[in-house]
Amino acid sequence: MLHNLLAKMDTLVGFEEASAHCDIPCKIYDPATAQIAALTVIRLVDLLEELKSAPADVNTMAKVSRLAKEKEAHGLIVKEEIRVIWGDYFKQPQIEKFPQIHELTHNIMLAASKAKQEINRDDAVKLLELVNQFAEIFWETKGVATFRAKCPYLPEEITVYPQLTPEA
Amino acid sequence: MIRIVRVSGLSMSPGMMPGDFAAALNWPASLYRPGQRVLVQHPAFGLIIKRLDAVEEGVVWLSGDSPLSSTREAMGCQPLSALRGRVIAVVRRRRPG
Repeated sequence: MLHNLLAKMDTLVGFEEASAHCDIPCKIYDPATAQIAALTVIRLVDLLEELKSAPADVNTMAKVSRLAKEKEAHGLIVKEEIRVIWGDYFKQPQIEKFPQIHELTHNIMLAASKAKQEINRDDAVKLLELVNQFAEIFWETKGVATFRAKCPYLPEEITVYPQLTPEA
Repeated sequence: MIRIVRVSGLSMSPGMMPGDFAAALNWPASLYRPGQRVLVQHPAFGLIIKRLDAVEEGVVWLSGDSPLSSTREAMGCQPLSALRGRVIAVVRRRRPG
């Protein structure tokens, strides 16, 4: 009852939020989400490019609008995922070892914005490359070796993967 | 003065869950004691709810109720002036079951 009343007041006046969370779930960080989002941006650019020769009818417009919306969303995922790893995972020991992480993170923010703004494959590929570099550093902080390989699906671009040891 | 806040996160669970409301009362600095739940303006984490772990000369240590919470070391020792009130009531969100 009282909660319902407060919830209604909350929608009207908007109470402040007091956070009772600090880094939960603890210590689960993985750049894979950002990498997949960056690959998705490239793939969406490719799909948008394909539509350049399509008839300029309402169907094409609808497809363009859907693809552009997803491209926007995945560009944002890259930014959020990288920001969280940079802000929450990287602490003094990692930053001392990889002082370039700040500039790299900032460059990823800029590259993601650029990739969002236009339909330009080069921009999207550049974003993936920066995210790959971020992933390499991330795995190195964990003492995990990495390798580069084409992702086994379109857009088949070079992606950094961790070289994990299989359980015996 | 009473300040009402909406709780987010799980570090004060099970006593406070996300979506609950908490009322915090302006509290005299000299009456803060370990064990009290408090509203804190934290320089890194913003406005947070925690439990007072220790009250020392002008400073306090904080902890969460849940084992998932950040450690008191991670939250650091905060000046008494960071405290924004003592939680005097929690209104729980009704949960199914």
